[in-house]
Amino acid sequence: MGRRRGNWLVPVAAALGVGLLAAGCSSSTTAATTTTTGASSSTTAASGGGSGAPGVTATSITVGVISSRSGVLAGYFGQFAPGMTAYFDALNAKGGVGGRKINLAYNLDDGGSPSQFTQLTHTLIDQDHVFAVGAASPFFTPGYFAQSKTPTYGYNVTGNWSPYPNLFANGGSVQDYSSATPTYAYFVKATHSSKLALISYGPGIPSSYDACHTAATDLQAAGVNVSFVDVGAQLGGSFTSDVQRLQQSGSDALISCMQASDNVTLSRDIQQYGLSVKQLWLNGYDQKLLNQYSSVMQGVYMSNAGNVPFGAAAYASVYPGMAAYTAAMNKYEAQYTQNNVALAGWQSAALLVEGIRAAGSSITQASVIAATNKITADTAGQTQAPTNWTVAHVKAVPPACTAFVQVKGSTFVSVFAPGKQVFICLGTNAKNPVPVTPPAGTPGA
Amino acid sequence: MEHFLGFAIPGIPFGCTYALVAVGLVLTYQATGVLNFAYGAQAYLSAFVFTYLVQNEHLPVGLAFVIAVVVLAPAVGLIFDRFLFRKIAPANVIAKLVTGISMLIGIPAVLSILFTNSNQYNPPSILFNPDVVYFRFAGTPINGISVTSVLATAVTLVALVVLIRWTSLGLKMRGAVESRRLIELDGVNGGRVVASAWAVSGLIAGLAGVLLAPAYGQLQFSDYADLMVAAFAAAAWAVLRSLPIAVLVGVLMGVTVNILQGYLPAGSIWSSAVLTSLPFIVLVGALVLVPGMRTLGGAKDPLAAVDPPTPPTTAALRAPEFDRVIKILWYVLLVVFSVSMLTWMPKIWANVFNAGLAYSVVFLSITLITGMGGQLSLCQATLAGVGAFMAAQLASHLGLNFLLGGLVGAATAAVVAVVLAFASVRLRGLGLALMTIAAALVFDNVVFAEVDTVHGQPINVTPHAVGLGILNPDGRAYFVLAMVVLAVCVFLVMRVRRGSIGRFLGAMQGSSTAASGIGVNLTWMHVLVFGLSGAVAGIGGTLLSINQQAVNPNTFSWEFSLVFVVVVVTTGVNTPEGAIQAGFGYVVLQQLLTYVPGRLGGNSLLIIFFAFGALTYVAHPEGILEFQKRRWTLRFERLLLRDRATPSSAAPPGPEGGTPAWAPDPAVGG
Repeated sequence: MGRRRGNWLVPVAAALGVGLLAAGCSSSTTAATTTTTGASSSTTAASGGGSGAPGVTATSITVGVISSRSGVLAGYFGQFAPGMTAYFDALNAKGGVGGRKINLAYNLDDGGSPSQFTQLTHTLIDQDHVFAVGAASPFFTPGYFAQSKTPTYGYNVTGNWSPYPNLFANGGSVQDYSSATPTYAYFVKATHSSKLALISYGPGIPSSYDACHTAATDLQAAGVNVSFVDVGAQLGGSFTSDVQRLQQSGSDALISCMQASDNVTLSRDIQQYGLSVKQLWLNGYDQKLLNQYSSVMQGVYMSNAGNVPFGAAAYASVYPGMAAYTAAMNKYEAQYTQNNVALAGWQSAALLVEGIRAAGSSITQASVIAATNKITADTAGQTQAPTNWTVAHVKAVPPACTAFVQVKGSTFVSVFAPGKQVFICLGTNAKNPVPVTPPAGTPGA
Repeated sequence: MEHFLGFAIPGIPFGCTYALVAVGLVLTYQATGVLNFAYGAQAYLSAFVFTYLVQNEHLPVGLAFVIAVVVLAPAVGLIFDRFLFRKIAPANVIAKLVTGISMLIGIPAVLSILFTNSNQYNPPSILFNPDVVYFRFAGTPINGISVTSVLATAVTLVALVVLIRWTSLGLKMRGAVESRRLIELDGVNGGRVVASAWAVSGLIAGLAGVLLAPAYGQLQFSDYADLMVAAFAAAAWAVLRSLPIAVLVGVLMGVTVNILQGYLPAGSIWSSAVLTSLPFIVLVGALVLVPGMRTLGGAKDPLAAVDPPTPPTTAALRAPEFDRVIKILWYVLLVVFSVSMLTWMPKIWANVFNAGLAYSVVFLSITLITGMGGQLSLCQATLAGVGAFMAAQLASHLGLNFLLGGLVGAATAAVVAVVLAFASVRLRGLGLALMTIAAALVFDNVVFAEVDTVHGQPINVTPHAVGLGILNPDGRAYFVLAMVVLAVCVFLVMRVRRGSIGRFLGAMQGSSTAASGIGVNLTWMHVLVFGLSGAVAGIGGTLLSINQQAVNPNTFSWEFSLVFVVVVVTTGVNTPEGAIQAGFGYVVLQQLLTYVPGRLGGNSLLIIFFAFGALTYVAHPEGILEFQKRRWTLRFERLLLRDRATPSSAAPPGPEGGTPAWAPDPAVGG
């Protein structure tokens, strides 16, 4: 029996046709009933004591978080949610914000999969109807967050948080690697180094590559003697060749833009080749790491961009924010206390709450976003240098403040800054990196 | 000279580990005919358990070593043999590969579920302290990691050579690779010989895993995946036969990487591209230049022909009356689905189904190349990525509309696939799988990472770049676009399948020699199916990126090429219907898991589900879903049409009835 080929295409076309027709009818109905829906929402808000905003009731505000807790890069983002959790637990123990407790109801893992991240974004917004989202993932995609105008807070490693007004990355949404150049020049000057080397991964790992590549170019332009640059090191690779080149180039200072575990391997090689090199790591400020690799990490400097160092908790009167952070973390999430990603989670939660407070009694997503964008000195509860959210979505404003710490024994010790101060704030001049007065509101200033 | 030695010597311990894994691969292949893709996962498992026992349970290193390496590692090898590979017919190369791949992605996922965060710091060394320099050679400090690696490798190799060359078991192992069934005719217990080989190779995997661990500050599966590729390259140069060559190439690779690191300009494209892709270049070199690799995986077993063929599809078996009813039901479902998507469907599920449509298109490319072409390509996610990246490049550089760019991207993916096809024109089965995974890794490490404006960062796909309201939040315009694209791609695949090309491909699957004998141009067919598959994957990649509103290199990484294959073979690789079921199954299951209390598992649970689903490929190469459909269809037919003999009930026996001939007539939607 003969059969027409492709006859199944007719039902497909018919199905789409019928669907489109139905969609047309449905749209007109929806348009006609919009007012009713709006009225219904208002009624719910009034009766339930909520604001009509997703996730908000008279007694609680529901939020969610997505992070990479498993998969390839799990070791670097899994601590974000505990930081948020500790902040909300501490806040709720004091009665919450405006009589509402914050409920971190959904703690989701993207499993190292970009498509899972996207799907979870939709799940939190469309299925769970959360008020706000925290995010720490190398697969962050702003698309649906921006479209749905959901307040979103997090740890920016993807460089794509700018310029959306509802996306609030820690320390500002713009990743301006050039702004760190004076900080590195200051490190060279403060350690009396004469020849600087820089090592990062290749362009496949952009946050590493861009940081060191930009620094190398800018520092050379600023007159720093950059003796060796490798911006193509392999993740998890061998660094003995780099160490030998360091030796050959006579470098006495090194900036590493690599991940902590590779910094450890590099540092071990430096020790075993008998080199005397002052190392500045951009990653590795983690007490757990230090506990494991104390001998390898001795004398290493860490650049703690924008954040009050954990050790400042000892000076509670000067750094109440860090003291509060440490106390809460020790109480609720003790294993992550001295971890920068956990601190980022805490700071994200703090900014959300600050925005809610600023929005006053009318809590909607739009009002919280608008109120947050009027904050000119966000210090996330005195744990970081101020961020000006009136401009922080589109540009990084100098001075850039950094707290340097150095490994001494089994602890990180604050260095370079005078007295009990921790921050070195620098303008844009990398040729002559002289500290400037910290901006108003800077913790400890 | 001192500089040269200074660069070369630190590469030896790495090279030893490559060599050890390569030896394990060769040994397994020699004795069982299986190139064990799960080897990296086995090594990782032992390293993880060893590190966990020492770090978390505070067991002494010696005891942890015994548990993780001496007991667990061979046990895993034996489990692989007893429950997985023993059931696979010797000639079924694709089944062996799929089973290995399932375990490769399944084992880390299981660890991820069991231990929440499967990354561990500071893996311990089994013998010597990594922080201590024991002596210097040519000015190079030799630390505990180096001493342990070299010593353990040397001892293991000597033991292996003795085992294989001078023991009765070794002789039997060598005989087993030619034909297990033939040595059994000689009174040898073939099962025991093969099981011994699996245990020994498992032990080597565990040892290599534990040896490698302290070289990294943190234990991560990705390092073991890289190790495996380097070992594949070494094993390939040894034609999976010669242990000395595998060792030599493994050590040379470790040394060469270090020497190149020392002499290539640091931070240059040469340094970053050549160094990361060296193992893949070596692997491709072996596949192209070593004659023995071209026929690898082909049936050597003279008794292989006794294995039954793949059963026909459900659609080809149904009674006409039942077929009509099924089709009508499918069409009704299609109309209901379309109307629902365009009217009342909740946004969350609309997005899930839209993603399912995009994945369906990508998975159709696997239907083309594996279901119809009979070849296993492990770079389909890469080809999808080529399409998406080209669209993104054209959008960001020339301001070209993303949809138009997607068409150019599809053409580019087709060209890349054709180039790959020409490069692998003489390869079949195992060789082709290795070539395609090498291509996927080169694209991951070099192309996607180095391409201007990408640099590994996700590129946002904006509503403006796509236009036509496709990215409106309700997802309706996207649904129409995706449905049209999917329909066109299915139509294309069906046309190919039902036309002369499909019949030629069917003939090639039956016997390439016979197909060649009747005038089928094997090379042309090989290139054509690759090209078509690349084009479909490229379109699917663009569609997927629009759905995700980003072009992310990680979406198209080599791991996802493996996951995609596993997902499609679970549902059914032979029909477009199977690809669509795979596309929807993948995302719907992902979403359903969000309803699990505490949202336990997430992506890992999904991977485990499909990884274990794919293990059924051995028993049901048509896909477990397809098998169940056939079973239930036949049951319903018997129930409804019990008074008359149906064509299916008259069919010769297979699993639930089937015909021995390859049946190229499945219909979509039924």
